[in-house]
Amino acid sequence: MSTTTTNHAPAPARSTRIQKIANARAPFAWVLLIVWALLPWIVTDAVFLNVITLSMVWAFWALSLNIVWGFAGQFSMAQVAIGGLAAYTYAILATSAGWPALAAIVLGIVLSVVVSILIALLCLRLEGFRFAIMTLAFALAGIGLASSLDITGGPSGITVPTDWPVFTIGSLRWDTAGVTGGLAFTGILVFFVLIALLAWFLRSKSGRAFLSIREDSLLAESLGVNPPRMRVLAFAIGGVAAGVAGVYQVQYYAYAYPTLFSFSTLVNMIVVVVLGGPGRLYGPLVGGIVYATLSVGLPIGGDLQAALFGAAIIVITIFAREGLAYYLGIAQHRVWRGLFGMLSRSRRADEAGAPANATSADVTESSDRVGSRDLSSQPVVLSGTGLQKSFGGVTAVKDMHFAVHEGEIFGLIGPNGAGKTTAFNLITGFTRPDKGSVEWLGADVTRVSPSARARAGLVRTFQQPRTFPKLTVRENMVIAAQSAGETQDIDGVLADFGLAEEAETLAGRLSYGHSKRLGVALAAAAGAKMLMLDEPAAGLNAADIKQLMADLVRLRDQGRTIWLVEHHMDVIMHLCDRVMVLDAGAMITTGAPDDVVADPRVIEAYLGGGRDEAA
Amino acid sequence: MEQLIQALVDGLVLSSLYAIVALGLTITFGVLEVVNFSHGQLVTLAAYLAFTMVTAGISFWLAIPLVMVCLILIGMVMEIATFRPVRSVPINGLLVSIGWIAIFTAFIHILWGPNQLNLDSVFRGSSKVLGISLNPNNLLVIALALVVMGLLAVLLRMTMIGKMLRATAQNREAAALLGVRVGWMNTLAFSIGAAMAGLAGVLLANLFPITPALGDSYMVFAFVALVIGGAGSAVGAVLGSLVVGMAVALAQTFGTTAVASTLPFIVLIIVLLFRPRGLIRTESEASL
Repeated sequence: MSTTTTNHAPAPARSTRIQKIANARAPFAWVLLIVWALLPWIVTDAVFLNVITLSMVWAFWALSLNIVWGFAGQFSMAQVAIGGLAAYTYAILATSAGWPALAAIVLGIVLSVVVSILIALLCLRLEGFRFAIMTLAFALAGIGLASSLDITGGPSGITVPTDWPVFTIGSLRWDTAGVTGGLAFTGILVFFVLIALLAWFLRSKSGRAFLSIREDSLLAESLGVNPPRMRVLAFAIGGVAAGVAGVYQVQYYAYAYPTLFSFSTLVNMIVVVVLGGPGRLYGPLVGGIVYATLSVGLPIGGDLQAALFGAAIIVITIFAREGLAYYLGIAQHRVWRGLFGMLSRSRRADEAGAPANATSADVTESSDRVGSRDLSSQPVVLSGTGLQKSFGGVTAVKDMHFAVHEGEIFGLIGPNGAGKTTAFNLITGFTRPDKGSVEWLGADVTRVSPSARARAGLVRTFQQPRTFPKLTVRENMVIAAQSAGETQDIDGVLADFGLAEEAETLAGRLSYGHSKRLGVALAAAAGAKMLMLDEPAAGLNAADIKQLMADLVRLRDQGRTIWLVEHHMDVIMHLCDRVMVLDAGAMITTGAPDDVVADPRVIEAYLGGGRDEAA
Repeated sequence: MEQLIQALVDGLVLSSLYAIVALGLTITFGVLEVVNFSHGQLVTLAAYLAFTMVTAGISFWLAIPLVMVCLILIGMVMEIATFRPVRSVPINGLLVSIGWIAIFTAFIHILWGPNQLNLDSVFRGSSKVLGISLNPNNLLVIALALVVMGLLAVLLRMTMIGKMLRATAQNREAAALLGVRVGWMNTLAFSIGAAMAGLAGVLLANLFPITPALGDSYMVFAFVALVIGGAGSAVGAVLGSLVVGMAVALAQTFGTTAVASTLPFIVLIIVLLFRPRGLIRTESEASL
């Protein structure tokens, strides 16, 4: 039935099943939308029409915040200013400059998108609360400008055109005054279009990448997703919605004035998103309807209402962070199950029928070394020359040279603090070297971003398992595969890694061993020509280690090169063709595993020299 | 020349006000890792409380500690009832604080009305020294800001409680393992922050007409100061406040109000472009 997941709520504590249901593309939501779209034609009561129109005003604002925050994880407070820009552009061009209203609106929204992108570019290097404050600064500067400039009419504002063509369809009179069906229906129609476009985008490959930066920006980057580009994209799309919101709001009030784009608008926008549920496609509509209904219908003063909505943010944040759309999804499922009990039962049967546990780790015990091959005749794929990095006077890596050949499993070992992680980060681009260069496939990549390296086939994993916890295993793989740009047999890859049975499980619910395994699978799916593995065996049990070794041999036999940082010497000895040893940032030796462990300098590094940090 | 010196003196007064607000924010942020956007409303609330107390006949000097105590109680309730339950996800703290903005704004409107109220300043008149006008009410601000900075430094560096606060800010888990009650450290830090908001509110009530939006611009500029200086660093908060205060005062003297209200944001954008973590870099995000 509806298994395509389009929106994801932060609800790690729920069961996978409920999660899937709530995530499902809700037919209920479509019913809601259709009923909603018919209402302006049926209802003629001014108060009711007013509620519908007001709902759409807030649904648009919330949509813009939901795109940048709910879907892309960027808590931007600049949306009011971005929307205000479109609104004022429309008002100024259409009244003083005599432009046709539609042309003025389009230009206004284009300007919103441009400014939105500019803001995103200026905030690119900021995270968390700095980002929030910087965007707040833009919002306040915008409000300040609107109330002090002459062209915007200062604090009193300017009028917007209300002489739109008037016509009647059935009971629906199409004009623009705030309480007629025309504006309400236009709003619903535009909202439909925006939501459909957004849903289509989120299901696309880049849509998945878009969600991935909210879940884990660093992991996304290691898999070839370009987080800055995704952030800019989020702002561009959010800018469209904000522009529409601004224009729609001034049309509703028939007037553009600074209070419409004030801090309280921002607070209300947050209320609506939180009510509806951040990161839910229909959240803004649900939130907008509830908000507008309450603000018109509650028989209490505006101040008390504001206090009530404030309290609502707090209560929802503490007790029901998934928002109303999530609970509507659950309710819909209950109704659905009641109506189509058979269907639901058969689905349950399907799930029960799946094999509980398939054996995947059927690697035969083998003491034979699969490594220690001489591959020096193969072409060099990755090389480092004179790499050096210091942190505040401590040299973590000094004068490091290496050349890894195609198809090789290259090990890097050394006692704790030897600089393995720094070397790893230098090669993958998460740290810039002070000196030296890294060449990948003949090109100097020293100054190339981690995501660009990943797209070029140099992909890393993390020591602590990093996955997108609120997406399913398969969705994780889809995100990884999109940067490889080729269609892959994802189910086949999952089966190879022994993860086929868990394809629909949320990644956050995997065991430690399986999530580390998924990490390697993600790197492979991201189109890795070379895998950079950071302690893949750390914390694994014996069975998982055996599976890991089989996985790595298979990946190698597929023609991939592997760089392995590892403390488990049996893994190193078994797999590696050559091993490099680091101590205190310096290379001690490089060679075949057996030669290396027999080297007295290596033994000294690990055991002697008065150091007490043997690994 | 006199104009310049006057601007610098005015800048020092503004800087002191920003510093008091920014230090309150820093302590809260440093320990709880929560950005309390409702800090400005706490400042405003304190100004109204001071107005009510002084018009009821309580001396201004007594009102200062009384308002601070009120704010500490309010801060404790806020932290225990609403910030503590959402501790695990910092963005939720931000949402909660936005909820509080709406609540405080509404209640200030309901209790004191939308019109501005005026409190007579505690000192009358101002003296001229070498052509520079020195208002004793302004000097009081600078003096109290210095006292607060001194007390805070002593508290954080020299006392056991201060050390436990800093330990919590730097590594919660380690602090908890060593027996620090990190939950109470949160409440304490939030209360200290609220008390600072209280002090700022009383001082503002003594200088300016009281309006429902009184604290807003101070909170925003204090935030700007915090980000410029380096969040989580008390020294950074003071340094950032100096930059912002001087920028605003100079722009007010030599530019227009529009310039004065946007200059801090421009400085913020420029600083963040070149030093994304602020002027003073702390080792971790929150360290005090």
